[in-house]
Amino acid sequence: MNRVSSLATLLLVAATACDTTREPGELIAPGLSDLLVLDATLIVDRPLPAIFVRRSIAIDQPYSQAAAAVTGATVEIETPQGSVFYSDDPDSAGRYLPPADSPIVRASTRYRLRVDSADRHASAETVTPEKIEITEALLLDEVTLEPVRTLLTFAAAGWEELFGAPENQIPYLEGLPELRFDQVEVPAYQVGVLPLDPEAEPVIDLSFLDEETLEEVYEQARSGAESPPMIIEDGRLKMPWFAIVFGGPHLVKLFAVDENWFDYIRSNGVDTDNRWGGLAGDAFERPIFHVEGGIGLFGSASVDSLGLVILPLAGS
Amino acid sequence: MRMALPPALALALLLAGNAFAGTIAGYVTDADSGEPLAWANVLLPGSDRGTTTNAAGYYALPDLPPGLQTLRYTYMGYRPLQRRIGVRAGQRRRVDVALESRPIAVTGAQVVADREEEERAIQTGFVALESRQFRELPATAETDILRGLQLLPGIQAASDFSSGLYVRGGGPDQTLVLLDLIPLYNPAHAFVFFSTFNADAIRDMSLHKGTYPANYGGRLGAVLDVANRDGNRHHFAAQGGVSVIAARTTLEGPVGDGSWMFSGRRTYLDPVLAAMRRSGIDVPDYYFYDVNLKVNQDFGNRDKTSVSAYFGNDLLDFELTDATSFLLEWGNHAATTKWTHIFSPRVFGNFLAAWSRYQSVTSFNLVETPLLFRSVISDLSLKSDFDCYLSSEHTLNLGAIASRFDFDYQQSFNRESQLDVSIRPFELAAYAQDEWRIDALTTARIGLRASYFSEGDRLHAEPRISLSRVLGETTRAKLSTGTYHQHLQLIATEGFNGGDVWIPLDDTVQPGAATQFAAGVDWNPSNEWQITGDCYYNTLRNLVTVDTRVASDSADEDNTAEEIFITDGTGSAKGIELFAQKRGGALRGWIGYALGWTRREFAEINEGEPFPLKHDRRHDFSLVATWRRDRWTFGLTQVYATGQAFTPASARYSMRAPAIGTLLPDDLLLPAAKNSARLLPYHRLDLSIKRSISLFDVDWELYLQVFNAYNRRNEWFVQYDTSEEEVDPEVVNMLPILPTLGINFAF
Repeated sequence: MNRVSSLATLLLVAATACDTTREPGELIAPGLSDLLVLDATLIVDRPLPAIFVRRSIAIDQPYSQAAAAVTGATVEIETPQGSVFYSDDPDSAGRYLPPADSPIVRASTRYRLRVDSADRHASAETVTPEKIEITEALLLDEVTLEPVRTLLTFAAAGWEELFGAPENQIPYLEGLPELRFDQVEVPAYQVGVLPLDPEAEPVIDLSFLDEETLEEVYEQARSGAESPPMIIEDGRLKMPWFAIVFGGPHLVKLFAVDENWFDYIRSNGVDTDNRWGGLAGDAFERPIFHVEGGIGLFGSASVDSLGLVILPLAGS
Repeated sequence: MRMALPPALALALLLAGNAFAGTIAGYVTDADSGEPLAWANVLLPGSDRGTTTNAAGYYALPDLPPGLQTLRYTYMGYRPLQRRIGVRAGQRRRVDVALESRPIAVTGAQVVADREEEERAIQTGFVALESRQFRELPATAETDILRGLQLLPGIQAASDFSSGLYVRGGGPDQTLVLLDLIPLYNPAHAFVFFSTFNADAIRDMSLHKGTYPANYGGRLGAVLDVANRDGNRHHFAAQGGVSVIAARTTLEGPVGDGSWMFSGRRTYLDPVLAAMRRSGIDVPDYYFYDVNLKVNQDFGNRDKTSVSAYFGNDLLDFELTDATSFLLEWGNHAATTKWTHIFSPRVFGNFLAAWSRYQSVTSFNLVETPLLFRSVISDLSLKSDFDCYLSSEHTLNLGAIASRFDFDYQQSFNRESQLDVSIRPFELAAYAQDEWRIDALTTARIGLRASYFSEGDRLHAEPRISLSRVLGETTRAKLSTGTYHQHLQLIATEGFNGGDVWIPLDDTVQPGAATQFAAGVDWNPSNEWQITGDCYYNTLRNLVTVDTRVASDSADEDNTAEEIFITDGTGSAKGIELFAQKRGGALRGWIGYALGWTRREFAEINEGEPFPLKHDRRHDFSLVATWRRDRWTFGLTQVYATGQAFTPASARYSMRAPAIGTLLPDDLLLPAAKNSARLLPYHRLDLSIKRSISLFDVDWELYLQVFNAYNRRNEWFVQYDTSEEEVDPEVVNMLPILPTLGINFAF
């Protein structure tokens, strides 16, 4: 009995001696703060966009958009028509606006962005892709993959006509929408799906999620979903149904992206693995930025869109 | 014809032997089961002559002077046997002996100790252990030989959840795993929680932690060679057991002039999981099983044949909704047939045909959007090995292997094939190795392995050298070195080994290469104690690592290895290992300590700076003890290791999602230098108590084992929640205290 008591005492001492609580500060390594973060994407055939300039904030400091915003910087884009100087957006700190008469972004053209803020200087360069055009949109049979009907595209119809067209009304999970387009010389494509009715009811069945997670998913999905980069070699893209969360009108945007955009989106996702339990950071690596003197994205793309109206399943 | 003459002539000379001397040769077996005893000692007392049996239990003593010879056969755990045998000039005498095992309580030592002794005498970093040893140690629900190996110095585990072996800084893919000489590509069940090896079916295993000899090849690091039991040649026997998650049974007995063995294991969680699902709890259906089969047959006294097979599978099925489900299925299948033939007492031949296949299928249906990943690797090999006992100074080992590999990988997304790759390379390899007894104190093993791999048209010559010198009655020093190449690369899916994919490196990427050096000292102060000190230094070149930033669906049939991997990496591993083992008496076990450094360097990772691997451990300590008293066996393991390396977050920043233009909901993190921080040190105490009883002529063993007895919350990984203004780093812990019960039987 004495031995048992001794053993129990030993175990108790050992257990209490092994407190694994630790200071959160031991799990971080502040050091990469105050880097200029550029956030700008040029779209072919559109005016020069607004540009966001922020800074990185040390991991042990509170983070907010206001604290991250960089104001008073000199922001310049070098275009074929000459340099375009941006100005601070008085309504949104860290946002810079081009002049009202700024040029339209051309296809297959080199643009250079320079940002100077105090003693920090960052620059990046992009070559815009060729124009992309959706030539056909189809609804396929999900088993045979044979076309069931042809959908209306923006090349053939205006906004209201397209969203009102009966052929673009698709019952949820019925068939498989497919976009067909002329291939352009880009490293990859990306798709963004934007639900246009903020009041639309969900159509997806995520009943296996708890209520809190479900609310988060819905909240995020309201602002849209984007795909990972895709290499498409036959000019055909089948829409995955899991990109659709709500019923109602949706805009499906197909981007042909440049090297910077491609490198950024293919590498920036892996750092989130760490938050998902990436086994102490094996996949936690710095994304590919292509920004000299800072981080972020200065990329470009050409885009075309398709409109769909998702009808809820009967009885739902 | 002229090319063929020298080996033919050499073989003829070997077959004829020395006309003025005699040869004694034969098998050494276990008297009870008839199983061959590999690496038993055969000595001529009073002289420095002696030899050991090979892996098939065969030995030969050539060049014996005519007259009456006294031979002493010894094997740890067995009663020594001495025989007086007359041999005439030119005579070749066949002498088979059967050794009787000692009662366990007397020795309690591993029966493979002599095998270990012999190999250890030449090779540094060699360990051999018997399955029974692992069964005496505290386990995590099921006895697991790979988890047992993780308690040896120089071998680490990735986590409490992993049975994978990280040997001297190398990853699991750098260790060749053989079961009855068949390579297994994914030796794990239950997401690496358990190994595929059913301890009841395993006779013994040996592990070369580095500088492995020329008869093995194809991996940069280590070799784990596991041998199935042959089965009892004299009488029917059965054993089995029930643990909290699985039931297993092993049956064996004689057949014809040989034996058979069947061993099976299966989890029985399915009904419990089904009941949980019926009560509304979302849990998947899951099971795994494995089956080992072996049949041996002798034909005359010169020929032995065996057929063995292994089948193992895991299946996880999870239906979340009508439109969303997951199905994961993976497993190994392997079979081999072996023929051993004694050409002459001096020439022993071993011929093998083996087939191994690993398949994993990962199938998702996410809201009517199907995804499929299917990977198959199979190989078919023909192998021959010859042991030629040239003289009392030289034993020559020769061998050749021809393997054809089939790699198939399919990936489809949303009903569209993204990747459909089939690669069919082959590999030819041959080796020659001379075990040269230079003098009474010095032995050398000099080997050369040459290999050709068709993918990339690679030809390699790999020298391997080991030297051993007796320094005193109880002390021996050893040196060894070798070069190694690896043509197959594992693309591991972190956290889910079932999705692992093996692919051959093509001509766009050089295969990985390693040069290893090791030195060691063995000190055996008594029969019970064995103390070893080893140090090693390994350099690695042409390393590759999967480029996690490759677009997930960018793979097409034209993808080259260069596009999939980050290439041209270099690395190093160095360290010191100390190992003190008590092999006899009621109290047995070992104390192990390893001091190590493991580094990698890639131009594209960590800004080109060298970084430690996640499993780099500066200190690694283990204490393993079992104590037998009457019918009770008490087991204890205590481990301590430096915390694993991880990459801490350094800064936050935010970006918009470029395709939808809205700010990403969570801020992004910038990492600090790769693996520049450490988790807290890992330590753990496991305990077990076993009680043997005899009931109805059956030996029963009841056991209670407690994993992590003092409930240390060891750290697994760190995650960062960036949804609030203040970052909240959270440590995810490994297994808490885990008691399990079970019962074993044998008759």
